[in-house]
Amino acid sequence: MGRLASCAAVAACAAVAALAGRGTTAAPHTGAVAPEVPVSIGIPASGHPLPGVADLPLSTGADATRVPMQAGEALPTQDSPSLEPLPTDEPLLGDRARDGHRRSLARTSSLQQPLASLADMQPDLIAGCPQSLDCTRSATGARAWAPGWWGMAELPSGLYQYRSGYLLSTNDGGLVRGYVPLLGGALSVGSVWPVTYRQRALPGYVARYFDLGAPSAYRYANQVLYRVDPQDRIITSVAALLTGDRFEVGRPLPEGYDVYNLPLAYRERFRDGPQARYRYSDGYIYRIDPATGLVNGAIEMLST
Amino acid sequence: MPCRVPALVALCLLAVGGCRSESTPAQESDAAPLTIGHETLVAELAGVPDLAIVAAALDDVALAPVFDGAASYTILAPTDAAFAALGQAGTDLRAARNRPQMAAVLRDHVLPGFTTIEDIEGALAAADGAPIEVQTMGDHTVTITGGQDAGGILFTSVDGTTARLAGPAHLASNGVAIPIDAVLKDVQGPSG
Repeated sequence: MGRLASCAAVAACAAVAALAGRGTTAAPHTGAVAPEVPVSIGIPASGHPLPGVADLPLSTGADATRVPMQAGEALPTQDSPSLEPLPTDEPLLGDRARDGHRRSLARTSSLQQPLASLADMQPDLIAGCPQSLDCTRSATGARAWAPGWWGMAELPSGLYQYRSGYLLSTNDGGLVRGYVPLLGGALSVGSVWPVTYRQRALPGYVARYFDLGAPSAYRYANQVLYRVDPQDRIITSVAALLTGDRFEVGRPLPEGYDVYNLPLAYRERFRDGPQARYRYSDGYIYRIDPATGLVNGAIEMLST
Repeated sequence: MPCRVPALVALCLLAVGGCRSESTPAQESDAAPLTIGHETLVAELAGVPDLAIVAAALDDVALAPVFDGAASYTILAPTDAAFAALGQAGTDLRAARNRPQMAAVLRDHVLPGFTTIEDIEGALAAADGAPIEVQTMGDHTVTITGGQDAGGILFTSVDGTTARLAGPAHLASNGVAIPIDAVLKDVQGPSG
C-alpha cells in the first residue's frame, strides 16, 4: 500500500471510529495511533446459552445415520445472546447497541450459562462405508491409528485405520463399520461435502466473525470451518480452525490458556492486570478474574 | 451489514504503518513495543526463507487462507531444517497422498490468537518456574518451560517431542510465526 493511500486510510479509519462513537486516541506508552474498536460485550441472560449450537434434525440415509440439509435450505441458528440493560454502576466497556441497550460485562453472579458450546460438537463417526471406498475387503494387517493423534480422542474406542482421506473404524475382522472424513483428505477444497455428514448451524455471531455467510454456505466438522458452494456442496475453502474449547462463566479457564493471546487490535484495550486477565478463543475475548481464575465475561469482537 | 472490525483494524494498522512505524505494547505497561509486519500471516511466512516448507505445507493442505483472514493465530513454525531432520518420514509427510496427516501435524502447531515470544516469557516469569500450557488447534496442548534464565524456551508436545526457539518471531497483522527447531509431533503417530 502506498504511503498516500495509507494515510488516507488512516483518515477513513478515524471517520469510521467517529461514526462508531469513538475517536482514535494516542496509545499511552508508544505514542502510536491505537484504533479504538467498537466492542460489544455479550451477556448471557438466564436461560440463554452463548453461543449455542443447533444441530439439524437427523434422518436415516441409505448408508449412514445422518443426513444434511438440502442445498439452499434455511437453517435454524442461534444468534447473539439476549442483552440486559446496563445497571448504572456497571463498568461501560461497549457502545450502546442498536436495540437501545448497552452491552457490558455483567456481574459474575448472574452468569451461569455456558458461553461456548462448540465443545458439545464432538467428532461424528458416520456409520457405514464411504461411497468412494471398497469396504468389502478386509483391512486386516493395516496400520492402526489412535484417534487422538488426529485430534479426535472423543471418538468411540476401537480399532481405527487410515485410508484414502478417511479415518476408518473397523471391527476385529478388519471390516469397516464407520468413518470420519479428514481435513486434507475427504474434506479437501474441490471435494463434495459428504451427503451423510451432519450439518451444524453455528451461532450467528460466530458465523459473522469468521465471515461465513449464510448457513447453507458453510460446514463445521471437528473444529474446522469450511466454506461450501450452497448449490453443489463443493468445498471452496477452509475458513477457520477452532479450538472448540468450553468457556463457561463462573467456571475455571480451560487448560491451555496460560499465555496472553489477544489479537493485535485488542491488546491495547484489554490488557492483563490485577483486576482482570483476558484470553482469546474462537472469536471471543474472555475475561478472567485473576483472584479466582474463573471466567466472568465474554466479549464479542464484532459490532453488529 | 456487520462491520468487519478486525479487517478494519488491520486496514488501520496498515495505514498507520505507512505513516509511521507501528508498535503496540504487550500486556504489561512496561513491555517493549512490538514491531508489527504489515502483511497477513500467510504473506509474512512466504517471505521467510527458513520457513519455506511449513509455508508450502499450509498451502498444500489448503490452510493458507485461514491465516489470510480476520482471525488471529500463532504458528509454532518448524524450520526447514526441522522437517529435514525427520528424514524419510518427513519426505513421506509432504507427499500429496499424506495431506490429511500433514494437516493434523500442522494443526498441532497452531495456537489461537496472537502470542509473542515476549508474551510467553511474561507468562513463564509469572509462573515462577512452573510449566505453562497453550492450546493447539489440534485439540492438544503444548507445555512450555524454560525462559531466559533456563537456557531458552522449550516446547513439549503431548507425545513428548520437544522443540526450542529457532529465531525471532515474525509478527504479522493477524498473527505470529514463531520459528522452532523441531516438528512438535510424532509424525508417524502412535498405534491405536
